Amino acid sequence: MARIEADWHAVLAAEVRRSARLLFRLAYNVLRDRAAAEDACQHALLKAWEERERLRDPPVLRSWLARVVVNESLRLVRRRNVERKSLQLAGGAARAVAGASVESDVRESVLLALEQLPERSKAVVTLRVMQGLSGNETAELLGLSAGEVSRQLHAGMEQLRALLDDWDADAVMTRDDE
Amino acid sequence: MSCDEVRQVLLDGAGAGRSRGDVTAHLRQCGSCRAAGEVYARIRNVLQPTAHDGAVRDGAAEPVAGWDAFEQRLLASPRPNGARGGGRWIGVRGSLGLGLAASLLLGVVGFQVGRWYAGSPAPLASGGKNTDVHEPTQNPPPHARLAAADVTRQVRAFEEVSQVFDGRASWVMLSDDATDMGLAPQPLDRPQPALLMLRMTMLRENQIISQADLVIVTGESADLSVPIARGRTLRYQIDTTRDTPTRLNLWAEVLTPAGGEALGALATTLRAEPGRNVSAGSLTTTGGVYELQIDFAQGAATEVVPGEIVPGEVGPGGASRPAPPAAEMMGS
Repeated sequence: MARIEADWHAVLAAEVRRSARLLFRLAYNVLRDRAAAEDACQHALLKAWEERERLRDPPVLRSWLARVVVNESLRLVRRRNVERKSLQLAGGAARAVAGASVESDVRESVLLALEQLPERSKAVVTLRVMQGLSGNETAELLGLSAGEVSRQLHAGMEQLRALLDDWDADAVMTRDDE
Repeated sequence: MSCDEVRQVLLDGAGAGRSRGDVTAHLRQCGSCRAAGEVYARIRNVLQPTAHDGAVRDGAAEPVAGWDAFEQRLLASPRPNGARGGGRWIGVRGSLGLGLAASLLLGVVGFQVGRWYAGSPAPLASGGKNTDVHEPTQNPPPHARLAAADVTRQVRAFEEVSQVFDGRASWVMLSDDATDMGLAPQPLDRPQPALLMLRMTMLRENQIISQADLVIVTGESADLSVPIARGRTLRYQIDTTRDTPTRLNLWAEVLTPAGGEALGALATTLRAEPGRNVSAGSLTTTGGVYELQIDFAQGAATEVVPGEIVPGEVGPGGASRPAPPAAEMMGS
């Protein structure tokens, strides 16, 4: 058992050296907060340690870690949102709360919608749109075919549209105004 | 071209063999695809790094203490001997050069020193369990730990609530499903009240069923409820002392949807040692056995000047750009 754990630790160490920058930037692009991004990455490593019995195949580890980092980062966004709402409930403090600008509100709405997508679509939209990876890079990282990445991007963006349904009305209004 | 094909092209340029003219022609006569394209563009604009996010756009964002320390932190998290140093950078703020050694030291020592308070037992609840010695939790789920960023956010949230209510906030609770707070009748008489932070994680069969973060001024009491599955409520009543380390009397109970009947309860006394994660005991209902894990951190509120709260990255080393002091953490 001790040997298995030592082996798995070595696998994780190698993966950290290979992927630390990718994982951090994935989290940072969502959170825009360095400390929180580090926490999200550390969460992924801790989870990988706990799931060592199940994660035997090193080639999938990077993909798995990337997905966990995305999920954890979006969870932290949701938590931040709840905290901010609590301050609004506390008597209008939101006017003075960090990040309460309209711009950040809109971004947060999209991130909260993104969190609701199915796992695969969520990962693809995050990597393609937020991280700016190409279709092939995304496919390689997630272990999917390029076609599947394309399908998941389409499905994910359509679901985001549905979740942000008032945006369609806005788009029509903008066009009519022109 | 079909609408699906056009939208695929709008999204990622797929659809080789189709001319730009085909897409344009379709868009000219299809309002639905035009609207979809506009929403796609808006989503992209919102999610992609902007001109204001130079660090993101240029890929220059770096961990607080640099890449080497970050990798060391990640490597220090899972260790073959079963101990862990997860999320515990609270105590090494400002000592970035310590790197791995500090992380390991905190992780290992944090689990080996100290005993839990074995003072006067609290009243024993009907159907409950009273444990007077609390050992560190062996394998707390990662979410059960309070990370540095959590602590900073909690303190800031408390400060902002306190500011709104003229310094009368005695506690603030935040969870994914509920928020609540307590107010003292008068402003608290200490200019910088000592704050205790608790992350209360309730598990059933090793699955987290509820998690709530509480920031409380030491010496104050809190009475809070958190919704859980099937319309039930988890109610906590907590009394704290002002001495150091703070001691808590804790009562936890699971209530029926009607809000009255207690299905099970737990009463215990704890000594709050920052940086420790302990099992506070378990309570049993007909639905199963619930285990309560508590993670502690400590801080001090600082004065927040109205109108000067600004967004900022706050990490183990504190605010990274000019911002009012949010948290002065006092060890872990």
